[in-house]
This record gives sequence, C-alpha cells and structure tokens, in this order.
Amino acid sequence: MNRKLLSALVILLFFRVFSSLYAHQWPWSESSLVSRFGIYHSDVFNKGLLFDKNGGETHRSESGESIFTDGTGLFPASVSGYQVYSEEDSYYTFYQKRPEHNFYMIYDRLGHCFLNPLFYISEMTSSGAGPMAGQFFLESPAGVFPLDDLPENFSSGTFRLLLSKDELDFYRIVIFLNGEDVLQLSFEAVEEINGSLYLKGEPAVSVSELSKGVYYNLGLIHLNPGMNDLEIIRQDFSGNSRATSEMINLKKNAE
Amino acid sequence: MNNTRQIFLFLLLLILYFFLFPQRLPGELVPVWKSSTLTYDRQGQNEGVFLPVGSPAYRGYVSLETGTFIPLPSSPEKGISNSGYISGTSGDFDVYSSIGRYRFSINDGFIPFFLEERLFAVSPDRISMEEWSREGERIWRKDFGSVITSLDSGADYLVLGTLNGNITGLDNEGNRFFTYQFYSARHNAVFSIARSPDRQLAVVSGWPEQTLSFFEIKGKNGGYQLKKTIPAEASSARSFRMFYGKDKNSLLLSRETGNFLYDKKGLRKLAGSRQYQEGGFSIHGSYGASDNNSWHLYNRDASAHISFRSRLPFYFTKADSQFCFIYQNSMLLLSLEKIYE
Repeated sequence: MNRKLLSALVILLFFRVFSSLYAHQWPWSESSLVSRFGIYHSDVFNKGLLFDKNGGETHRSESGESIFTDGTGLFPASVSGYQVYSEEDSYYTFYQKRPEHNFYMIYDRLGHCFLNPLFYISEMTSSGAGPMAGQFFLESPAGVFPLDDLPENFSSGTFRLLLSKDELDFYRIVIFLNGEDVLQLSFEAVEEINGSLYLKGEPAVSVSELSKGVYYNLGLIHLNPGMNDLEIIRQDFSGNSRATSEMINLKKNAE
Repeated sequence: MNNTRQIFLFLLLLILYFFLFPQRLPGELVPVWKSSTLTYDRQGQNEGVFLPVGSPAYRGYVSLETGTFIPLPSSPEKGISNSGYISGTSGDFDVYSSIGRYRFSINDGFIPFFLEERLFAVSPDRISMEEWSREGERIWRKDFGSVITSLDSGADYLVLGTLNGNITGLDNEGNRFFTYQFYSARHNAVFSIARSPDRQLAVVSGWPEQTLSFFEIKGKNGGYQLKKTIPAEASSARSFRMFYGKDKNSLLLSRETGNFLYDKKGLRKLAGSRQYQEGGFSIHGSYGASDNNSWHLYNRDASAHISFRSRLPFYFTKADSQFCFIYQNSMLLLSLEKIYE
C-alpha cells in the first residue's frame, strides 16, 4: 500500500517539477479559481480556468508577445475581450475578462491541444481539503454501476471504468488493480480529433475519449472472478492526495 | 443679334438643366434629421416599421412612424434584430419576437447572438458555434478547434476565421463547403473576414506579417479560388471589421488606426481617419472620431462622407437606410437613403 502510494507520488512529483519549468504566474492577482479545466458546464467542456471577478493586477509573462486582441464587437460581451499572447512561438495564452468571470486558457501550437493551465501556473491556491472523492463507475452490457454498489450477479470480464464528469477536482489519477498500476491518467490537455474531444493522459492511457454523455471514459480494465482490489489515488493541484480502495467480488461466467 | 439670342438661349437651357437635374458633388452626403424624444410606449407596436436599437445605453425598438421608443428589460446578455431579441443571463437565455412574445429558450451553455438576422450561439471559449432556427430548433453545431476571431454572414452562407489561420464557409445547414489554411506568417491568426453577396471573400490574416487575400467561392458544393494576395498594413494585432462596397469592387476596412479603402487604386487610408478614438460600422457604412471630436460618417463604399463635431459619443444601428443616433435623453434619426438610390 505504502509502496504504491510512494510510486504514484514520485510520478506526480516528476510532472509537477517538469511543469514548473514553464511556470506562469496566477493570471489575476486577486481572483480565485471558480471552475477548473475539464469540467462540463451544460454541454460545454471547460478548456481553461474560470476565475471570479475580483481581478486585481493581470499577470503576464514578460516574454509573451501580443498577437491578437478583440476589436470587432461582433460577439456577445460574455465571450468578447480576448487577449492572446504567444510564448516563444510554441504556445498561446488567452486572457479574457467576461462580465461574470475572468477566463484563462493555454493552447499548445505544436501539440495542437489545449493544456490544463494548472500544470503551468507556479502559484497555487491551497485548499488543504484534498481532492474530492469523485464518483467512479463500471460499465457492463447490463448498465453503468457505482463501484460500491455493483449488482450481486455482476460477473467477471472486461469493463469500462468511468468517472462522473461533474466531480473533477483532481488532475491526476493512478489506479491499481490487485497491486499493479493499470491506469494512469492526467487531465493535462484536451485536443480535438475529427470533431471529437480527447483527453491526453500520461503514460498508460495516452488518449482517453471523452464521453458525450455523463462520464469520462477512463479506459478498459479486466476484472477476474473473485476478489479484486481496486485502489484509486488522486492528487489535486494543492499537492493533496487521496486514496480510496474498493473490494469488488465478482462471480464467474465472464461476459 | 442672333448670336446673342443663341447664347442667351443656351444659358437658359443650361440653368434649366441644372435646375431639373441637380448635380451632387462627389463626397457629399445630405443627412435628413428627424428628432424624437424617448417616450416609452408598448401600445400599438404590432403595426408599423420598428428600428432595433442595440446601444449599450438603450436597447429596444423605435417606431419610425411615431418616434416612440419601446425599451427592453435591462440585461447584460442580449441581442436584438428586426425579428426579435434575446433576454437572459449566462446559461439561460430566452428568445422573444420583436413584439415581446416568448419563442423558446437556449440553455445548452452557449451564448446566443444575432448576425444579419440569423440567430447563432457560441461556446464560452468561442471555439464552437451553433445556429438556431426561428422555431427554436438547433440547425447545426460545429467545433472549430481554435478560437473564432472573425465572422461574416448573410442569408445564404456564413464564413468565419480562427486564431490558427483557418477560414471556413458553412451553408445554411452547417455543411462546410470550403476551408483554407493560411501558413505564410509567423502567427496565422485571421483578423478580419468579409463576404460579398456574389461569393467574393476578403481575409486579413497573419502577424506580424499581415496580408489581405481575396477568394472567389465556386458553387455550394465546394471549391474556391485564391485570386490575389497583397500586403496589408500590420498596424496592430487587433481584429477589425471590413465590408464590401455596393459596387462589390471596393472594400472598406475599419481598423484601430483608421478607415482604409481597397479598390482598383489599391489599399489606402481614408483622409481624416487618423487617430480614431472610436469607430463603428453598420451594413451601410462606418463612423469614427478623430482626436478633436470631429466625427466622420462614411457610406458603405466610402465614396462619400459627412463630418461634424460633437463631444458626445453616439451609437447607430440600421433599418433600411436609416441611422439612429442616441445621446443623453434624445434620439436622432438620420436618413441617408438618397445616396444609395
């Protein structure tokens, strides 16, 4: 248990140190985070960060070159006011002051994807509360069931592990099954491929499709008959980790 | 004697000719001012011609027959057109007809707006767009993979440009009938896009190397031809509006640094348009103010303009050929009909 947690934390620390190489300042000095990257609002995937309107001084990197500013008034006020900066020609940072929120977004020009800005901001708010538990589900031909409330006749087989998309309060997940890490996923970036949105994960799940429905599709796992020890470790951007364990007892008669 | 009579007759005919067929000097506009006070009246608005007014200070409809102003409920998120208006706040919008009758709601997280009497909605990050019918049905939704920086629409098709230098044409059903990707500049952002009714397309793109490109769209089922590309003045990285003139061979660009005209003489800045503090456009023309509070109002192809001095900012909208200026508690309607005949 401790060894697994330690290895997960080493991986998380690596990404945290790596991301600090490109550290950005908190976009608005007095603003607090309202909504994170990856959370759906109605039908819309949030590709950046929403801040409250407390505002304060706008922090931009000194190397950023202004390449685009809104000036047409074509769009509604709530989506206008984009200011776009290029950072060393490799990625764009977007600042947008909306009537109700401030919005911040990062686009990787080389990777053609939107990055989770929390990976690139050096200064974090510290809630200290730890990541929320999240709601994980298993999908079988019989339906979608919470991990802690599987039907008695749930049999062994390959299942799809899902995450309720409304409860994304962490940026990285490591999932162990019977002591082996089977899934690692970081909410690091989102990219569009043929009109569909995909989350980029590192390293075991390189790309994970976003369900258009209620869940994130985290990937496939194979559960054997008998007891399966599924352990899920999450970390938020304040450095807090939370580990939960589910013992899943499956019958035979694989699907 | 005969010569004197002939000269007299000639002069008489000449005077008669100019009296019957007065010549208007090039560049002259003759404004016809109608004034109205802001009286609020929602009675009898089912009849007559109403002018949608969308200035930040006043939103509503003006009866062009009675001069009465019918305000809409105040809300930060609203659009207005001849056919109706939008009311609501983020995530929950209601669409009403111009006489205040509820039609339908848009609550999918997109923010609705009118453009040339079509109802569009855009995602908060401005990467996706959709169109709604007047009956409340979503006709199409598209994700463009990059922030939409400019668009232009008419009754038959929509064109838009993105920050990554892509331009797309969509027909009324949302089908992409042409796309083009700019590559030439260090940053390929599209700063402005304009379409003409006869399927000509003008695009300003690129930073800091900026170009003005002209396309000809061939048919509804795809195909276009890049006709010409010329350098454009890269005065700022700010998006701006541009419009085709009535003659379809001239293009008016309203930039932060002034108004520009492109025609067979090339691209040039319009006189008196330096150091604009504020500028705007309607389908009929443009306006801007220089730093001495002198305002210039151009017709659409910039072949004529009027100038006047005012310390007060004003706004204008369109209905047929009327401009509507509102400042403080009074409203002025300016008719420019004659120059378009």
